[in-house]
Amino acid sequence: MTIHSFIIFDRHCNCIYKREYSHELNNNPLSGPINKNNDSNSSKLLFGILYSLKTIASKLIPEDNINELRSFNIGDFRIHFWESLSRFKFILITNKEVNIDLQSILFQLYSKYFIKYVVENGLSPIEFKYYEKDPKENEVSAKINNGKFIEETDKYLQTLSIF
Amino acid sequence: MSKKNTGDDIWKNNVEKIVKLFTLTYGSVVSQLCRDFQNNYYEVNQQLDKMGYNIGLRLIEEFLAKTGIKRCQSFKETADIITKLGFKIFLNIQPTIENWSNDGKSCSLIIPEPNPLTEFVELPITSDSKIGKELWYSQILCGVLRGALQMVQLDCDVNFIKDVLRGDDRTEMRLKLNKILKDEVPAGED
Repeated sequence: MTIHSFIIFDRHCNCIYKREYSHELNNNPLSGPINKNNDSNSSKLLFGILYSLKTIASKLIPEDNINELRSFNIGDFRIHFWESLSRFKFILITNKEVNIDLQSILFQLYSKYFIKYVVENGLSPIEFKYYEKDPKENEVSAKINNGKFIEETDKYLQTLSIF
Repeated sequence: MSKKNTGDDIWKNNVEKIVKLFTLTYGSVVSQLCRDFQNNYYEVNQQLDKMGYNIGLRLIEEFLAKTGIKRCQSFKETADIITKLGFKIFLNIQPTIENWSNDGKSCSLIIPEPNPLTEFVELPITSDSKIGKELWYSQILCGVLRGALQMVQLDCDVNFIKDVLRGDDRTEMRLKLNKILKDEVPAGED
């Protein structure tokens, strides 16, 4: 059982948080990179897969019904997905042995930690993509850099038996 | 009794006090804006709306987390949730919904009295009657709704059309759905 990474996308398709845990031998898992590979190709590809799977999930059933993407396997990995109505996407990548439903854990990450340390923190951005000047130039996409958020979510995920 | 105990006693069961602090804080914001913009009330309305919008962006997340609600199937359901849950949770009031347009895209929310924002407020009687015609004192609520709804992909116009403060018979807010926003897709790679 291993959690490899914890990722958040916002509604502008940007990866606003990417926490990787390194589980290699003799390594402290917390020494993995934080927000280092947000714009990497793999982040973009991940977003693309999720977007497509989410769309196809809703197209497989008659309109107005709900069919949500929750998780899927790729080889040795399992990707767990939950999305808020405001289109924040929470993702946990684990090894394939974690075949339980992680919806409640993803919701917990949103409702407890994200709300408390990002949304209710008046000085933290909530729109992570903005323009430095009004005409649409100098686009900036921010990331979640709140120490408390990182610390507390690390702590929470570590307490889980699947970590 | 020590000062601390007195303080503790007063602090206890003090929801009303917090509401009062909130009302007074809001009042001082409005009056400061009126001074800053030299009684240009159109500009004041706009600033209040902007502030509300920024609050709405955050409030919606707390709302979604607290209620764990699912996507509404119609705008009527949305309006119902706004009044019965949204206003109730954050302001402890429940506006009534009236005057649906035929296309089901706009309606009025009647804010019950006392409106928690205006509880101690009277518009000043001056020789300049502009304030009673131009200022929408509770405009911040419009911004909050606009911001919150936009985050759940509903692009809406929200404005006041009546306010008891101005001498109208009731406080009425108009909510109009412009369109349902599509999910953004990533910009193409060059």
